[in-house]
Amino acid sequence: MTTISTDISYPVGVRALLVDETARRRKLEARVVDRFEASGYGEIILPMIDFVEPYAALGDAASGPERYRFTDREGELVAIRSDFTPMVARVLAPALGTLDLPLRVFYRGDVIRWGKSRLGLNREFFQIGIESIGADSAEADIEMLTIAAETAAAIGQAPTITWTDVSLAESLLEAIPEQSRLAIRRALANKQTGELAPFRDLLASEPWEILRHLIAGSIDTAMLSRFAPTSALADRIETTRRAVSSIRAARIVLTLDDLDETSSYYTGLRFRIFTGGRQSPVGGGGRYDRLYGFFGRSAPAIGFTLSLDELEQSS
Amino acid sequence: MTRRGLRIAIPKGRLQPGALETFAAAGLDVPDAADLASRRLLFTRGGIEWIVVKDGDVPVYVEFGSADAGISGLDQILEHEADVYQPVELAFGRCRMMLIGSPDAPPLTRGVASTIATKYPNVTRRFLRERGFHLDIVPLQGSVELAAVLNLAPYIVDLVETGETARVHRLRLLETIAEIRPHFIVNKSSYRRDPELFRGLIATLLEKSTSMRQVGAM
Repeated sequence: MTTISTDISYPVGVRALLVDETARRRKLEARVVDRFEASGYGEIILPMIDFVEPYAALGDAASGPERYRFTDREGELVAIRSDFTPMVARVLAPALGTLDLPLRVFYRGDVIRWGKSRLGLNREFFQIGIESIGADSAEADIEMLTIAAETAAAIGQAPTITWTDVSLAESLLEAIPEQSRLAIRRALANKQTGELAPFRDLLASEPWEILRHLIAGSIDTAMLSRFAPTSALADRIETTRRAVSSIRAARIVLTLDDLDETSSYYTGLRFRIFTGGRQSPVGGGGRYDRLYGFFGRSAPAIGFTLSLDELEQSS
Repeated sequence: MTRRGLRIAIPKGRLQPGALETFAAAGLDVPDAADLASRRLLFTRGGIEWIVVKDGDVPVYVEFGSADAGISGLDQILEHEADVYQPVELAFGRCRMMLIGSPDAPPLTRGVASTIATKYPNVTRRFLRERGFHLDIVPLQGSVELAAVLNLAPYIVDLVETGETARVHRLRLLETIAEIRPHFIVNKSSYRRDPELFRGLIATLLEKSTSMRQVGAM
């Protein structure tokens, strides 16, 4: 007689939610949905798996080793959803010519991915987020930060949002050969002061001074204003900074020196959302004005996503 | 759930005295000898929680946020590929991570099938891959030179301070893989949440640690 195993262990990083946990999850989810709908965002539903190939041009950010991939019955290489934003772009880009912009959508569902930075955390986690497609203004940035602050305040304690503009690194380093540019960005991303030294001769005095202040955390928009390639960016950052300073729902901190080694698909505003005592962010987002171009129709876009698993642990 | 106060990780072993001196020079109230001799794992002094952990564990505690900052050798940062800010290089405890050969090891060339012993399997794997070498890595916990002396492996990757051990055992120093210095490291989320606190601490450490490489001094 065959016996049925009663072992209820699961693969690393996934788990079941029972009645009480599910009720809490749905309640939290409903509060976020209410907030998004009140801000004029309509829901879309995306598939759980998709082909790998359409995302290949995005590099590791959307098609890298963090994804769970397999070959389906038709012999196609497919991946389980690991990030909503590129998927939303792939779905909406072909339709943008027939839709009124800005288009405001929200999505929710599970994503599954592995990541070293997610040690001990779920590999399957429930995300809920919004995207605004078609607006490239500072006002759109401010709207997104405002909704992020209000949503975080509605569902978590002591929300803090930290923000920067990732185009700063590109503006400063555009004249630098690619290999050196990557090394400088790595040094900036990790604040490796000594690693900047070999690149001193590649830069004029103004961008070099800005880099020095950037890595030391002593950068401000006044310095960026005095350097032509970053002066327009400085104006935009100042406009946003002044506008979000009146937001009371969350503490909003400008961290110009917070630059990632690669921008992933982000091209401008980049922010992270923290709540309660939890160390890691409960969400984040930013602007990705080149993402839709990969899927056939260029359009500026901005959005953010929240991980409800993280939020539950921070409340 | 409220956020805890600042927590800093101090390494055990050869870097500990320098790490404590560094923080004391920056005006922080560090654990004293009695604290360190006790069996306690966590000390609160001057409003800061101090933890003392193995040097190889400092980047782990800091990267994953169980400590906000700490002092770690670059060898351990590289081995763990720790995603942490590394804003201050400190002047004490400098050494080199080197490829070392036993006295009768053949030249290391592509196609040579051999073994290499090390406490740093990840750094070693990346180094070998960059050079196109394919060697079996033998992970060891300590006394790595002995592996070359006893021919457990004709090659080793290890830290070299004065080179005296290698000289005594007629080991050959073949190549420097990295210049190793202790770094003050900071968890990125901790920094993002309270940048002013960490900028102040970094500026003080930079000012007090006079012989570090500073961009401004170049």
